[in-house]
Parts: sequence; structure tokens; C-alpha cells
Amino acid sequence: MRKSRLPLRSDGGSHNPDESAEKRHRILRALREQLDHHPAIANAHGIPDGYYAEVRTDIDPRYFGHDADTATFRVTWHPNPTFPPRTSLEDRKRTSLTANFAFHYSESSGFDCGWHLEPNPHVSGHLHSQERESPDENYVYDEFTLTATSVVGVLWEVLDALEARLREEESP
Amino acid sequence: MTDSSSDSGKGTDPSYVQRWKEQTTGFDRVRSVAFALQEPRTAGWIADEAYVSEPTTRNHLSRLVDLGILVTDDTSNGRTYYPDPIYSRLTALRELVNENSAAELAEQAVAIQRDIEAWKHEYEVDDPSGLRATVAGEELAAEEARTRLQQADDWGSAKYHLSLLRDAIDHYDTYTARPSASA
Repeated sequence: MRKSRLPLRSDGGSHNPDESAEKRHRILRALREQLDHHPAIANAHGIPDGYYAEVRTDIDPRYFGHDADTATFRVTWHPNPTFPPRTSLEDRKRTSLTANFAFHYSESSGFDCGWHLEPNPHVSGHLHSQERESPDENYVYDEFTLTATSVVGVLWEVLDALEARLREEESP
Repeated sequence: MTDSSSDSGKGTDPSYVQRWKEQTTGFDRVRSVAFALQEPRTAGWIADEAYVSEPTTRNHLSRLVDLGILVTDDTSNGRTYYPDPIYSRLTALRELVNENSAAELAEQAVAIQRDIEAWKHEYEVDDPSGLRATVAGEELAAEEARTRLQQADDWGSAKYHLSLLRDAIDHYDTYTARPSASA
């Protein structure tokens, strides 16, 4: 039973919040810069209005053989997350990463899918993918594993998983 | 390909690494892995993650230290590397100044201040740590707890961004000054 009055931070409570905000800002700027290297991606920007609570970008669905007009790709990264009561890093499986993140692809067709690392009641171990054909449907959740442990390595690994997922339907 | 195959020193790379290598140089990968570090790391760790050989990674890292992009610390586990906080702040400021007029920066500062006032009013707390404390103190639905914790992080980011905006606004002329061409 946990008795602490404040929620535990992933690093055990010693973290300076200002340093944490600087780190999150820097990491999201680095991710934005990496996104620009991907051939399907244009116009990566911090939001809201450039301030880096998350990064959003246009991504070309046709590059992946998907017949939709437009799509967006959304990136969040929380380097030192505070976990809600009854969840903690001890629940984490399949990765040594202590951050929370979400990489999420949404198409004008209504289809969306994402690769997330964060507590979710539908899946054990925090690291999961989720997808649905339209916003009216419930998400289908799945576990996945990561090789990369660097922030930008994780981005490229997720972009590769996205490409594999979208091209799945191309093969007979 | 923008990378030499001798740079890897590994067998078959995972498919994401092949794509990453097609789009970036070894130097780009070392720089971006290092600039996005969450904690200080050794050259060996950075080399493994960037898929660049360790000797080449060490050369790249020492250039990045010379350029003021990374700082080092000699620990019992060896030398570690981490982004220089001054460089990090300068690149954030440069981005703001390059992409916005002084008036746009002022509008963004007003909008962020408005967000912060709204959070204070909505949750009746003064700062992000006050908001985090409400999650432990009250019996909240899991979804509400998650929303508040993300909101607290966004509030922290907003405060940090506001400090950048104020710096950029106060020194806009200095940061945008260019030498006039001589005759």
C-alpha cells in the first residue's frame, strides 16, 4: 500500500518541475526536426500555436498506399510523468523507458491508429497499440515491443510500424 | 543512401534503422539522439542507439562539445554527455524569433497567460504542482486524474514557453539585428 501524499514521480520524487518542462520542450523540438526527415511528412509544428505541448504534422496517406485525402500524425512526450493513483512504473512491461508518449495517426477516412506508452485500463504494461476504423467504434488494443530506447529511435521505430500497418492491406 | 555502411558495425539492422539511415547521416543521428536525451548517457550508449560505430560517435560527440551543443560529466561509469542548457534555450529562442514577428510573439504571450489564468480559476490552485496534488487528495475517476496530470504538465510547458516568449520579446531587436552591408 502506497502512503505518500503526493503522486510518485517516475524518478522517485526528486524532480525539478522547471527542468522537466525544459526537457519536454527540447525533446518535442528534436522530434519535430526528425519528423521533417521522413519523406511522407510535411509541416511539423508545435501546438498550441508553436508552444510544444505536442507536435502535430501532416502526413501523406498515399505514400503508404492508403486511399484517403489527408492524414495527421500527433506526437506527445512526457519525460517525467506523474502517474495517477493505483498506477506506477512498477506496472511497466516490455520497455525500460520511463517516459509516457503517444504517436497517433488519424485519417480523413475516419480510420485512426496509435502507438502509446501510458497507463491504460485496457492493456497491461502501458506499451500498446490501438486502432479503430471510425470514431464511432471502440478501439482494439494490442501489445507491442520496442527495440529503441532513445527518443528519436522510438520515433523512427513507430513510423516503421505505422508504415507496416498501413501497407498490410496492400498485399493480397 | 547518405551513410557509409562501415559506420554500423552490426549485422542486419532492424527495418526502422534502415529507413532512418536512408534519411539521415551518422552525424545527424548522433546529434539528434544526444539532443533528445532524457538523462546523461555515455558515448557507448549513444553509439548503440544511433547505429553509428563507437569511435565515430566519439568523434562526433567531441565536435558537438566543442560547438557548445553538449556538456560532459566525468562519472565513475565514464564520461557522460547531455545537452547544454544554454544552447537548448538559444535554439528555442531562435526558432521563436525566426518564425514570428514581435507582434505575433506578444499575442502568443497573452494567449498563454490567459490559459494559465483559466487553469488557476478552474482548479483553484496557483501552479502545476498544486494541480498534481489535487489528484492524490481527491477520489477522482481515473480519466479525470489522467486529464489533470496531463494538464499540469501542459501548464508547466506553458510557463516555460512564456519565459521564452518574454525573453524573445524583450530582446527582439538584438536577436533579429543583421549587420548592414558595407559599401
